Amino acid sequence: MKKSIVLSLLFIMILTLAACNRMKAIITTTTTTTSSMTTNDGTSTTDTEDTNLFDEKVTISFWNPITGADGSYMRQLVQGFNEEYEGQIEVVETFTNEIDYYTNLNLLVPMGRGPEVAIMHSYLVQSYANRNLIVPIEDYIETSNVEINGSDYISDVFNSLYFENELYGVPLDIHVTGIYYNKDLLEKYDLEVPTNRDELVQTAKTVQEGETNLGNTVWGLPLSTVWPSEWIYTTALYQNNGLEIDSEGNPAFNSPEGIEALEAVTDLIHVHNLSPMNVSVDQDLFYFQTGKALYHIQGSWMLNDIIASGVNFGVIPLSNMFNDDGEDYSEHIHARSHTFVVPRQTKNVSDAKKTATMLFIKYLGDHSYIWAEAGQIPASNIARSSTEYQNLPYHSGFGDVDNFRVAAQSPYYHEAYSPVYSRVTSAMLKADYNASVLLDAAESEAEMLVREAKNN
Amino acid sequence: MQASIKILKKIGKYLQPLFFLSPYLTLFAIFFIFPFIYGILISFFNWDLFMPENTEFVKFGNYIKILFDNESIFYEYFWSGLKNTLLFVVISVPLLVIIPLFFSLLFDLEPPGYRIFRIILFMPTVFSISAVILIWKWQFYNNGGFLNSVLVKMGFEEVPFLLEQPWAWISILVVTIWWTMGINMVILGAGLKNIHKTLYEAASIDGASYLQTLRHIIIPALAPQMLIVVITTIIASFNIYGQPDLLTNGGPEFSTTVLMMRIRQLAIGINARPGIATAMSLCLGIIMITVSLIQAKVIKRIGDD
Amino acid sequence: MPALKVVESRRKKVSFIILIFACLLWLLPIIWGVSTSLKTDQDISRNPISLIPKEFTLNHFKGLLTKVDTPVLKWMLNSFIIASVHTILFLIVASLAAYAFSILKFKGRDKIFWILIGTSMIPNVINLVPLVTMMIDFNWFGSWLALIVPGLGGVFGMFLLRQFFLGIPRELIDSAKIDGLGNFGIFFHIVLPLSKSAILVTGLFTFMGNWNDYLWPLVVMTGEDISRQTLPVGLSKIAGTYNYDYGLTMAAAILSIIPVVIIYAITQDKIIEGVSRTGIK
Repeated sequence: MKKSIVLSLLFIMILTLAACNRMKAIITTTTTTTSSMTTNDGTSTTDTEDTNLFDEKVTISFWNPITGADGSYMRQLVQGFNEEYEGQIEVVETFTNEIDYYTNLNLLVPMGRGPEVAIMHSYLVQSYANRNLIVPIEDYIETSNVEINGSDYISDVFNSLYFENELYGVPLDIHVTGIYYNKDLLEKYDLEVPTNRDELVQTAKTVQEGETNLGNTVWGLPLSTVWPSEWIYTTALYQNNGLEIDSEGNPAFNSPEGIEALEAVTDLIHVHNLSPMNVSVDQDLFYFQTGKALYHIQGSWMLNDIIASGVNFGVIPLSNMFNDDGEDYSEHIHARSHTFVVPRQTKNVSDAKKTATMLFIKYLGDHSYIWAEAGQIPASNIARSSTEYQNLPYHSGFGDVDNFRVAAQSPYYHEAYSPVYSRVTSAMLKADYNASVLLDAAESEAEMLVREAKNN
Repeated sequence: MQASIKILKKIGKYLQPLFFLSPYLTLFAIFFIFPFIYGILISFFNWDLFMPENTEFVKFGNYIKILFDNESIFYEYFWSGLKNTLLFVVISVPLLVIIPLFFSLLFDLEPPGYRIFRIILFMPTVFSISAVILIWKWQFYNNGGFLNSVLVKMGFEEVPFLLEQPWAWISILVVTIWWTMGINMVILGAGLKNIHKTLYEAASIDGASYLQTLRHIIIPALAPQMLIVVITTIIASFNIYGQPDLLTNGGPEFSTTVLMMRIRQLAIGINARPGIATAMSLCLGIIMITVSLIQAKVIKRIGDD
Repeated sequence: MPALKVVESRRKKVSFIILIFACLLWLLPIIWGVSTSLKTDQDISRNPISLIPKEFTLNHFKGLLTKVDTPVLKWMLNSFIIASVHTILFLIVASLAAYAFSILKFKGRDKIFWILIGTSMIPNVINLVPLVTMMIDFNWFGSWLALIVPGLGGVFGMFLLRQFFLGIPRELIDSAKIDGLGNFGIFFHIVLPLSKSAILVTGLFTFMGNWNDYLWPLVVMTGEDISRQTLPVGLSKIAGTYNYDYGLTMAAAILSIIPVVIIYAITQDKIIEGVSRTGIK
């Protein structure tokens, strides 16, 4: 019996080794077998309008993390594109919530099961480019003859998409958080819309106290301790002239500015008592939607959810709300962009596909005034100057595009900065937090993460 | 002739077990033993799921990193995760045995309607973890959650159930007991049924109190069921994942981020490190086996007494 | 023995009261969930405690069934198909093996068995990464096969069956042998009929394990369309996306447990009876 156990173990060992080799074989063959599968003929990229663009219909898979109220607009855009290019290009859309989305890309792109074009948040583009999960898009632009000019886009966003001097994405939009305010409540107390932090706090106190005296529960500014507190803190950091990371990509938020920023956020809860304690994700939204909050800090992407609630509201920018020195930086607002990227493919990509991909990207950019209705701000200067966009009632409330700041660029941005998010949450939960202890802990975790990422 | 029949019979003797066993053993070998050995292999590599050319042999590097290198983030992940997991095991296993035992003893008295009660208490075990969490999360919420609304109505302060310790653990514990207790309850109940009632009567004639009967007659007689219940509960508690993942998301301040959450994240998450993940799971496995074996010994001794 | 009777009836009363209380406690979250799913949003925010809605609305259920990213009924069907196929296959494979480990006699039987039990102590998580690579290799990644097949070698269910089979009186089997029945005959005509409840119980555990599994389908169905996910994975996505929508999430939870509760209500008798009659020794 012992012999047979030993034999079977040996057998299993052999199987193991075989499997490893097989894996290697599979991967190397998929990356080397190439042109036999392509169907293009290179000459098909003509702009003959009504005749066929391609020899045969091109299908493109497109992934995005847009599932909320803005999702239906994305569906509508894809459908519009498919109708316009019927019989020639079909875009097949798959959408996943943001939490799973990047895990999916990480896992399925190397497997050769990733999409042909995807939406990625701008602050992750450097990291994905560095890990070779997405490829430069310039080749696509050249092949397709679709014109993409950096000068047509918000320059801050467009520049952030270069990694090692190559362009990896085309921005679709820029989105920020702003302050939604309940018009009826402000009017009830005859108050002006605030333009700086003092006014924000004072008006919030007036309404909160006034309503409490009337026996109503209305809060000045309920703040979720979790999402979107990372947006709020980052904006506060910019407004206090702090940095997320330094030029080397190491954490830089553990600074006097970082502490001031943290206090600027948490004082709203612990000092000014404008928010109930322990507010969870989207509970702040719920307060606002049900008329129990005067102010609400929320992303532009939730605009339609707030419209749907029927509250009479307006939007004001976050500028000067976490610091009002009157310096330029105190007007800055943290922004992110939904960007088109091309994941690495294990098969060779035909020119027809490249062209179709760029036509799709171009189409969505050109129609981004529809996307804007979902609460997003078009990255394209052309789309923003269109009358359709200019006529949208709320968008200008989120602030001047020139004040929008995208994240600092580093392939290790997420490792170097994200550890601070959970510490912001802790500080918002506990009045007696110690800012430097929290930021020290975040910094040392960030340093370890960066070191590990650089070494790997 | 005689000899060949003998040989055939001998072969038959092995062929039949082989027939009965081979489908199962094949599946077991492919999906349990093979990945296990494969896993051990992976734990000695800086493994890259997709680019074998990036995979390098690091000997005990992964183990050294997670066990001893206090400069490494993985050391931090492993020890804090393990601490949290162990804490959950220590507090959950006794409750997940005692509470079901308590209920099964009540059922054993067969009070009126006990069948219906048993149906109700067993019911949550058939729900999926996500449904359980969906139902419970709102109970624990602040500012409008059920429990806190009740507390406020009764004039108490709100309790940050999911946001502060020890409440976060208590919440996870409550959900776990509510969800999984039923199975242990039924298994123990089956054991109680097998104990002859005459034993109780004899004991009470001898003047033994209920607690004495429990200690000296019921518990030892339940040893076989206890063995199964304790071991499966220990394993389940070590494997805890869904409750903290969905209920507290590992918070507050990572205090409910159990080791399984770290392992899953390192197995396939962003910046996956399969080598580290398997090294961690092997360490966890060794601990689980050790704890289970000790428990088994202890229970055996109680049963033998 | 009147004293004993008195004591017993008093104990019965006490246990009755405790159980009533416990059952109410156990049911409260579900009752509250049902009531929340039937309330209007205004009602939910104004009167979170009240268990009776001011006005009944089915809007949350309607919303749930019309939203493209919340196909709860489809998830239930998926989970049901996967768990059923898995359970049937497992019962076939495991009962054969359990028979060999309990009734058959061959050299090394117990050794192999205890090796299996020992291996089952190894936490599944060790196999997570290698299994993912294997699934990719088999081209099963993202396929339901990955949810049905790998668990078929599971030890726990086989262990239960073996324990049940060991409880079958040896004399029955010996006399069957004398009557000229072979092992297959004994398996089909003696062991299986005697173990109906055992098989039911094992099947239940297997089904429940597969039905409730969260981590593995979450991993291995990564990137698949939402309509192909299992119920636990699908529901967990609702929790992430519709955080604040109490009514909708409760509607999802309640809808997902209705069929389970019905099936359970029908079969619970056999389940609990099965466990108690067979016992585990």
